[in-house]
Amino acid sequence: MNNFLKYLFSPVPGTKFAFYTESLIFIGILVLAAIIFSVIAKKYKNSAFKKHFGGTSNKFLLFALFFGLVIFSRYENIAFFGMRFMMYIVLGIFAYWAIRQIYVFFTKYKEDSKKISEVINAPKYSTKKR
Amino acid sequence: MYPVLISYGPILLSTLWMMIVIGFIAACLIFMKLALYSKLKLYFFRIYFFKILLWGLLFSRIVFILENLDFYFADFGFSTILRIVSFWDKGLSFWGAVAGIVFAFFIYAKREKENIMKWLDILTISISSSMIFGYIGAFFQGINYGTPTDLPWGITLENIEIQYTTPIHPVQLYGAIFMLILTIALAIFLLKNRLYAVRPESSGRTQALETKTSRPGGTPRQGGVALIAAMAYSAFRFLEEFFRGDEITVVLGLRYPQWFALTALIISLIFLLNRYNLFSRSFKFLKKIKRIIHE
Repeated sequence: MNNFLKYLFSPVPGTKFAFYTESLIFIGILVLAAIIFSVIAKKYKNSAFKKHFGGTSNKFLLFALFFGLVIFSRYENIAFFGMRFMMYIVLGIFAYWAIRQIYVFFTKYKEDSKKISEVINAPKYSTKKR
Repeated sequence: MYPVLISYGPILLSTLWMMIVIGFIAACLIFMKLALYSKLKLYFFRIYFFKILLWGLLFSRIVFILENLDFYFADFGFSTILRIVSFWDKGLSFWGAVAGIVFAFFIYAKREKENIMKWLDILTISISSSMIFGYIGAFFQGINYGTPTDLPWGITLENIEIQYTTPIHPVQLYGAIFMLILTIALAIFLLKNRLYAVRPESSGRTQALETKTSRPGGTPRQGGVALIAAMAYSAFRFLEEFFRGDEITVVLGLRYPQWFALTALIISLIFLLNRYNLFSRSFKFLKKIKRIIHE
């Protein structure tokens, strides 16, 4: 237990880290996702999409920034900012947020987009006599 | 420690200054949002912003020079004037800046007949948010360091300017965490109108007005956020100085900034008690304790 706490909360865990390249690729993917989402949000004019995924692109960028900072701190051996706990916290929050976004996509977003499409497709003016 | 963020030829970007800039931007953004939320007249700030900032800078520099008279007046000549004017040598006093900003703000707000307390509430939150970055910047720069410790989170900073080679308290990070908690708490106080005024029992028209507000305990009093922030920060600063390892003048067993912090704590406590009509309650409470002790 003590060793685990030391591993997690060590203020200066050292610059030795096996996943620098993978982390950089992950940051790149996050930035790419942010760009793709911003393009989709501009082109895809669906109010349900805007409501649920309007801020997704900014969040991707924010996660990329925080994760980048943590990895940079580890590389430069900066105390506390480069600790493992910080990295796991950022990754944990990202995982929670990503799962929540997927859940929203399959539940609330689909419901809302159905409602909106029904409203849009409903004939406003009809030539037929009632 | 990471004092230099980017270095390219003669161009050098200090991490501390970078953090100060980030803090300033964050403070401006928070200030604008809260000012719009509280429906304050932003034109007042637009007109007097630079004047207030200049007063803050001036006071901050003057206080710092007064603190380090031996350094600035070691010899007398043209170089002395240059040394005094060159404020970019990071020679600025925090308490001086606070005094300057409050002084200028008070004068200009009175001139424009603005609600000073309402402005101060919002300014306090934005300043405390910027101080988080200031503390982090100080950590990267390796200034305002702590005393040696055996605690597991003690860190060793490798710098000639730091007098300890053993693990020391990361005092700057204590400050950053405290300021983060304080900023969040103050923002909640302000946005949720938690600081209700303690009112004497009212009747007639005032009671009718109170029912209209539909807030339990009446409307919140302006200035409560600023006073609580001043009290909390000065109390923290007073305690923080016990863990500080950098050398500074010691007067009657206390460090120089501790006297400032203690004065600010007492003044803000008096103002807070007065603002919420708590003086009579406090006296009653003290009398009760005295009676219990005598019995």
